[in-house]
Amino acid sequence: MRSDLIDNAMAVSGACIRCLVYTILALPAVLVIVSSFTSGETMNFPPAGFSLRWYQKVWENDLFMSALWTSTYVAVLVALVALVIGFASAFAINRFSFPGKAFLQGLAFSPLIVPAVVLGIGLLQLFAGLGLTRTIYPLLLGHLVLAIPYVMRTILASLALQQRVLEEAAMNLRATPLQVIRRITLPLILPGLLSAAIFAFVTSFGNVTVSAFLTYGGKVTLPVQIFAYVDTSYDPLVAAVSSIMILVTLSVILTIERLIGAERLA
Amino acid sequence: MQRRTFLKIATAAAAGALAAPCVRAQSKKFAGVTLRVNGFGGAWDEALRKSVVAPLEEKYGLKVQFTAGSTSADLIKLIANKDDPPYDLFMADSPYMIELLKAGVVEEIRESDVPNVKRILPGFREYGDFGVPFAVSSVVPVYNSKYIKQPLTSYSDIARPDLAARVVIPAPTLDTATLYLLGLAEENGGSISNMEPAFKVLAAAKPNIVALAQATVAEMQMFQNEEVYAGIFWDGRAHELRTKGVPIVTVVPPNGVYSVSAYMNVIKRTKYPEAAHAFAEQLLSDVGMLAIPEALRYGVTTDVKLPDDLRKDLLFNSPERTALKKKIDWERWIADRSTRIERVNKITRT
Repeated sequence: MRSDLIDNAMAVSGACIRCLVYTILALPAVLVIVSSFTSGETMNFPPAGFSLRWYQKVWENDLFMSALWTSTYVAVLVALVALVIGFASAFAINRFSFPGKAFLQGLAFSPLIVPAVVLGIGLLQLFAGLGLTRTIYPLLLGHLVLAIPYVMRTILASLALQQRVLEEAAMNLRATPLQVIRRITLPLILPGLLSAAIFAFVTSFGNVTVSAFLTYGGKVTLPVQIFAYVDTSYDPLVAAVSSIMILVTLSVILTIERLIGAERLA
Repeated sequence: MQRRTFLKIATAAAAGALAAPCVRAQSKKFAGVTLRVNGFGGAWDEALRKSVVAPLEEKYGLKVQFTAGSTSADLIKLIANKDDPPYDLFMADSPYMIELLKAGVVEEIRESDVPNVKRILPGFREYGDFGVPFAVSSVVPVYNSKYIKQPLTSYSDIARPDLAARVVIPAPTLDTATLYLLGLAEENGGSISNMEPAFKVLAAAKPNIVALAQATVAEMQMFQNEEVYAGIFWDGRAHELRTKGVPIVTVVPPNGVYSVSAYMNVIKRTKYPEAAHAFAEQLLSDVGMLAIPEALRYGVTTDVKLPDDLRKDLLFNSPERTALKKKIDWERWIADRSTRIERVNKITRT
């Protein structure tokens, strides 16, 4: 009887804490999205009236639309390249013993320790020396450096949980190492790969600090454009652009979730 | 028609026909040229596009590309690429000019290249022939008249006991917004080399201070949501609050106002110095000069005649008001940054 009471109390308090955490996490985004539909001139909550005028303004604003395009294709490229590099590194670390393995592991996670500003300035100096600051490479590499630790950690966890007997069975049946990776390993860790891709996309898509130093040829990413915009203007246009950013990120996550299922992604 | 008249008309027509291509070439002399400028973003860049870029494009075929970003990051980008600069023109506030000059990345702008330079008001060009100031923003005390019935009159009034738990000040890390500290010092017998009086007033104001705003937008929101009733803010932003229905009053301290100028610089090694000078000339023209005041209600830096509707909204709207603008030793102000941040943090956070 007593333990039932305690169990019930724990269950209720757990549910309350979960609710609180989810609310705190979602509330800022909800406020921004709701404010973006205002028909007024100021960003307020609750909004004054309902209108899509600020979305129309974003659509008509070349600066924001080109920044959205830049952010999207950079994030997609980063996700793809980070996945390839991250998988190769994680596979090597998980499956082989070699001198300097611990150092490689530490090096791969070092971008999480180095402040993003320092990373941005360092990469800028490097690419200025190479004469490549007017290309996409600094931005791509900067975001890759930020994304790879997340990608590696996720894939390493997937590889660690994977049953290696299946790979060994395939090898016993004379499959080549490449065939084993392609036909056994990759399909087994697919949810981990997709989670890693989401991490990489989101890390790149939302980054401001490193991007501010590495934007190229007049092309600016969306978060940098928003950051500069709010410095001199504070109107619901920012809320509309931010809502579009949230929508793009959610779309990527939901598409992948629909493809492979949320429980496998977790 | 007389023979003489016929000859006159024929000569004029022939000359016109011969000169037409030259005139056209002259009027579109920057066709195909695109100047790259770092942007401040939002309404600021939009105002410059409308009043500076559009007339230049129409007159000369000159195009201008603004790249939005933060000035500090853009400055580092410029210095890192000084041999092959990513910008032809660079916008920077007064304190950033020191770094630009130290790095040797900007050219002098002389009256012979930009005749409108002669229109800049005395005392507004702080760095000799380098850069042209085109807007001035002031850090002033402000208050919400709905709640504060006894008007503030000086920077030191933020320590008034009736403002308990209702004051916001800019965070000490914001170099320009913290100019109010210089106001506190000079109003109380101090100076840039003796900031102690400022820190004493700040200590007295501590019970009033509810927030150190890390960004202008954050401060704006605090005033808009009536979380604070008084504080130190930018004159242009205070006007923006008024347009949104918040009854914010801008105070003009009689002992002096502390301001920062926005400069336009021509970058060394730009491929298009003549086009850059044309941009500066347009910026300092009547139409160009009124761009920022009309959009954001920041002050002008030349002798341009202010339209009446604009004059009433601007802080520096008469020679008497303009005389209140204090001269600032920016090099010293930046050099003392760390000490200042440490002292303000110590006072406000302990």
